[in-house]
Amino acid sequence: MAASLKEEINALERHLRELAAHTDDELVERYLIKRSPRPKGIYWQLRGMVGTVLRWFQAKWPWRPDPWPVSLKKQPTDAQAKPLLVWAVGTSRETLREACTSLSERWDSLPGFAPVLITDVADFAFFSRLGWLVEYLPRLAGQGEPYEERKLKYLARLYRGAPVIPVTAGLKDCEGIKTGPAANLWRA
Amino acid sequence: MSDSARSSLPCVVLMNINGNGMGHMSTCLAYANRLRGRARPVFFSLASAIEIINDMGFEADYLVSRFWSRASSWAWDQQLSQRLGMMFERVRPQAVVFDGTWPYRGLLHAASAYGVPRLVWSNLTLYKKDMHEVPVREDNFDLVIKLGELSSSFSVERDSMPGRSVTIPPFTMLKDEDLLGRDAARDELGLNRDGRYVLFSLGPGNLKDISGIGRGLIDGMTQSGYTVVWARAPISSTDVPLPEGVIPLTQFPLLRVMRAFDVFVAAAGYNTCCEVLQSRVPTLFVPNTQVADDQTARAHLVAQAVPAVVSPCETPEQRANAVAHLLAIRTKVKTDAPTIDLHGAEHAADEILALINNG
Repeated sequence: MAASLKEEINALERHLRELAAHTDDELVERYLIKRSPRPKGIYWQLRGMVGTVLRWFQAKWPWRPDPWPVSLKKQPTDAQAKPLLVWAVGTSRETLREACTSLSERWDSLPGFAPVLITDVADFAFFSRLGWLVEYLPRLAGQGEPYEERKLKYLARLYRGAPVIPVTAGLKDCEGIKTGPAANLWRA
Repeated sequence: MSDSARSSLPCVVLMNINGNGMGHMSTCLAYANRLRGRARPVFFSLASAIEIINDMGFEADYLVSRFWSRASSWAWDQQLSQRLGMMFERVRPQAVVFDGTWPYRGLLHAASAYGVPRLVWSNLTLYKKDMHEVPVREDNFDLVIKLGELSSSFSVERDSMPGRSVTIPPFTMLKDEDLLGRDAARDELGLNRDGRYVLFSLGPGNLKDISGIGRGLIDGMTQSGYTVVWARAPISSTDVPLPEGVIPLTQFPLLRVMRAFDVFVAAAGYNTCCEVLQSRVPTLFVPNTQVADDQTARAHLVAQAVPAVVSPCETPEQRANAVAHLLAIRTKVKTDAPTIDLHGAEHAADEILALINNG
């Protein structure tokens, strides 16, 4: 892998680890949907017990389903694919299109991974045709912490441990994309 | 709009469902357009067309739609709740408007957890008879806006809150003065002023495979001497391959330039039908039967007011008959056409603002 790309990846991974270290317990606690109390009756008690047993099995690897699968429906990537973050924050629209198109054409060399594009560029007509999961970072005027910063920390926690590459990796001819991030298996 | 201007106006968060089309986003844009200058609309969009919202002057965030995500409903709703919570805490909405068939649990939870002052549900009324009733009570909302069909005028079904319920007449995103005339629209599109043109807008190509029907109709119109212009939806995941001689057009909203065309071939979504009513372009409707709303019934309502043909166009005979019928009626003016009120979005905006101001 080219030294500069490796350094970029290392820097991104470090940056995302730092962001993920920021907790937002109030957000999680306030907006976490809790299961409703079970209605009374033998049927609902039995149904609840079955549900508890199923969730116990599902919590055990390898049967545990990914709570946030990143492979979209109607796309050829494996439904069980793990996320590979493609970092495109502060990138121009033209560079993003060229790089993503190139990455998309070479994605077969990254089996088991589905791309998650992290970007502040609103080019959704292009994204629709790309077929990738897009995590968008808009600026919204308002109060408190800048929205895009808070959301980025949230995403860093959501995708904690996922491999990441800069979108400009798509413009580089390097075999290292195949062996670098793909070698870091990610477990939720 | 400057930050200081934004902060002086009440914020209204508009959440539109979508995944396969832009109808719900169009509805929210129509509301936002009428709220402009009186409120600060901010979008939480499930439609992947954020730049269109931005181009119209509004801020927006995006979450992948449940239709596209492989996540379970439970997991997706958890994401929705957390992300809406972040938006609410940033923009501090005075009202949240949900436009869609089934208000998501994640939305209801986030709105309750934040303490959204006023919650509004905007919804179609013309659904298929076999559609299951949505298990969400209207009194979860301070206001329910029902999108009336062709013959609807503004009416109040239930005055008391929570759950004030109103029906609004049809509407479009643009005002009459925003539509270009025939020559101006042709000049903008680079079309010959003397040519004969048909516009095709059969949907985003994500839900219903339209290539077979579309190809047959293209051939029929071409053989009748028309140049075909094919509208490509901005959020299509794939583009229908077009025959030689067909001109692709990516423009949103199409309404602005619709009068450039002699005739129009389209699905019968709510917003498209309203746009036909406003532009008065003779239309062949090919209803999409794979969606929840009853497009066939709606298309027949529109055909009472403007020259229009309704046909599934699934066989060569149906297509040939439909094209022949459309071309036969296109110059006819309906002298007994009903007067159509297209101010539904104005009514919706007024209702939302009254809710904010009067509580």
